[in-house]
Amino acid sequence: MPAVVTWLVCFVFLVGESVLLTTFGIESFSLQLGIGITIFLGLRREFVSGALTLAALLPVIEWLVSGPMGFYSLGLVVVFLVLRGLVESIQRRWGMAQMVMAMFLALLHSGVMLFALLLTNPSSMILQSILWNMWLGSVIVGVSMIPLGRFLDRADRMLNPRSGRNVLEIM
Amino acid sequence: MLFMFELLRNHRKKAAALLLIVMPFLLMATSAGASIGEKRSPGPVQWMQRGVGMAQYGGHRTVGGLGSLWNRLTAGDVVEENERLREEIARLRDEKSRLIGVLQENARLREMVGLQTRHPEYNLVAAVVTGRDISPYFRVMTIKVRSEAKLEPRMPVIAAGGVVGLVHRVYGDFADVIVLSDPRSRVDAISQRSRTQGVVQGLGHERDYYAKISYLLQKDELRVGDVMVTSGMGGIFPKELIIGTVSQIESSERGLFQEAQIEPAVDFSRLEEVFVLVGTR
Repeated sequence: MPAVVTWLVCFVFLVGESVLLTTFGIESFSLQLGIGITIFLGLRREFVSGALTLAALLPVIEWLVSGPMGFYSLGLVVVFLVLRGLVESIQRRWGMAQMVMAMFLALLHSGVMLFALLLTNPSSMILQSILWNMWLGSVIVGVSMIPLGRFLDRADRMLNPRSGRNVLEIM
Repeated sequence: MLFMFELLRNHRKKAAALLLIVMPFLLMATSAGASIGEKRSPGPVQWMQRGVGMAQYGGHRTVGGLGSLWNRLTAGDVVEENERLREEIARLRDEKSRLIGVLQENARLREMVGLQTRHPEYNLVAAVVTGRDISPYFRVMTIKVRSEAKLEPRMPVIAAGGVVGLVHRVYGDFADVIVLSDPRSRVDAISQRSRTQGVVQGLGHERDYYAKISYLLQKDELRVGDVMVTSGMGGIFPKELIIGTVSQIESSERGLFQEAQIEPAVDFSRLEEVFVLVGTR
């Protein structure tokens, strides 16, 4: 998918998540699609394209998260950069391994947020909230990563049938 | 200029990485941090935020429509029945479902009108809930006001049942509301029975929407079932608005304070309409 289309699809997913959480009233079971999308961009996009798409998505994600601005994004950026460092050694298929990896990356994301908040707002109740919710949150991210990754891969193949099928394709 | 383009083209990776790393810090620098009540963003940013709000609102309406479509599709799935009867049943079910929806909305609106009647001194603006935050750490809802009223950050938001939260960020007709149980929320409270004072703080965890009452002195007498109301001391919420009911008390042997858990009077998970208190008459 071209970067603009990727951005649009991700935007629809993020807004859709917000709307569904409103419809069902289950905020603590948030899928955190922002993390899933970052993982997809880190694994399936060339560095510059992925970084620019993510940079364009960060303000939207921040507005939809409505937390203290910048902290959630910082976690996503760290997840993206860590993933880019490991991309060569991660298998392509969305399966159990990717699920476990997504869980660890969600925990890393929470860890980065905790660390940044500890430095800037050490007495904040947000720290407790993150510590409490990060465990279930990481499991939900892991479980939702497989269908999200497969869907985005399929969307990639719809627009570019060669995507993900050619071993000589430049990652 | 040409030199800049050349430089960017030669160092695309570094430039992209730099942009990505700078972005969160830029967002941090231009916001209110962990406190509630953000200044209005500059015009172009407001427009972009409004775009996100409109998308949420559109999605909210579409999902509502899809829900009734789903009901229609599933309602007529009885193979044995005559086709005409099936259609008739589906139509009647649809009508009934719509009627129930209208009756429920009517009841909610009646409650809200009741709220306005009980508090004629409040200048209330109705708003519809269109979205929620997409992280498990915060409790924020997006609302869309139904009038031309101008919202400001830190305006109180209430429902027929009691306190909902505070306006955090305003963009056009939309606003983000920090709900009572968000970890950033703090409301001065007082017990209706014993006049014991404390601060209701959001937990953002445990049973989804629970909050705790802090700064209760050990000698303060508080019981499970006590109703906590706003004390009016913070200068934001007016006095005597219901916050919730004390559900658990945790007093410790040591320390100056005891803590209590509070179950909010408003069920935030089912909120569809709220009122923003824009002033008093």
